[in-house]
Amino acid sequence: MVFRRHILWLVYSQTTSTLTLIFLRVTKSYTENPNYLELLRQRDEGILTQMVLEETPKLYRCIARLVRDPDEVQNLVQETFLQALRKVENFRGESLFSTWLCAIGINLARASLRRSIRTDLMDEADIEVLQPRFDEQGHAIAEYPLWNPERGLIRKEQIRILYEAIERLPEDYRLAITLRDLEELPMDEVARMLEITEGNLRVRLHRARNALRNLLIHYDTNT
Amino acid sequence: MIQTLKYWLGINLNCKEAHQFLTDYVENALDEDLKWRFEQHMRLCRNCRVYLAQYKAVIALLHDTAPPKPQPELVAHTLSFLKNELNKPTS
Ligand SMILES: [Zn+2]
Repeated sequence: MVFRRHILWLVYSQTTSTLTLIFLRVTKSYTENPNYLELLRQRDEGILTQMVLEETPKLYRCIARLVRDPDEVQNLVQETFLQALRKVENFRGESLFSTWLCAIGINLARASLRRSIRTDLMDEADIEVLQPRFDEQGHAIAEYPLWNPERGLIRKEQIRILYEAIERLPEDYRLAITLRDLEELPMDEVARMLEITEGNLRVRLHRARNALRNLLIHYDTNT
Repeated sequence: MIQTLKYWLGINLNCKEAHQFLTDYVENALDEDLKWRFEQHMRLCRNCRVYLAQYKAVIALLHDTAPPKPQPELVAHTLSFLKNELNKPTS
């Protein structure tokens, strides 16, 4: 059951001398309850239900962007909630509860990915090759091809190529791109989830995006 | 004199340096001075302008992907899973 607050507003209009009844329904987040952590610790069914209802979509997205198999994603979502509830006293309130939850989910997803090792993953040297080159004076060595995303492959195909490339990125790059560019989470939140500085996150994004741009353009101008 | 002129024109960033600030620029993490110098380089250098546009296009494509959605029964399944697991005696 979702906890809802109903507010009735009576508005008196002086110009028309009428009373208007405004009926507002506000969904209240479980985190607005000042005792939500204590209640979660006590495994209070009401707050637990609210938490699962509210957090499932975001948590699911974070995990499903990394792990392909939907059954595995479901298991990981459930395992995340379980782990979170078992160590809820470790949550220090330095981030949003949902950020903390996603960080747990991402760690579980990483462990799951490591169990299913792919053979075509890129390594650091592959990423390096895909960065632009400059001469000693700092000039670009080659002119960049005039690629226009509107004129190449259809958008859907371009997105498919990017997706495939992301799956082959080394894990650190893949996580950064997934959370920042696919999930569009704020920089500080992503940095917190990955336990790195924002500067560090920007470096990873930079190298990953350069690599993706290179792969996409190469594909797009050769087909 | 030449240095001052170069600075005034904002071309004291070469292509490599400008490229290093690309992500900071896109993520709005440059201070005013660097941001101005970066933009000035872009105004004067066509090749870097091309790169910036492509870099942004890739981000736009990534934003355009459909988010995965959970099955509607996942919440109910999770709740019964949690009930089961949390009621288990801990060893
Ligand atoms: Zn340039």
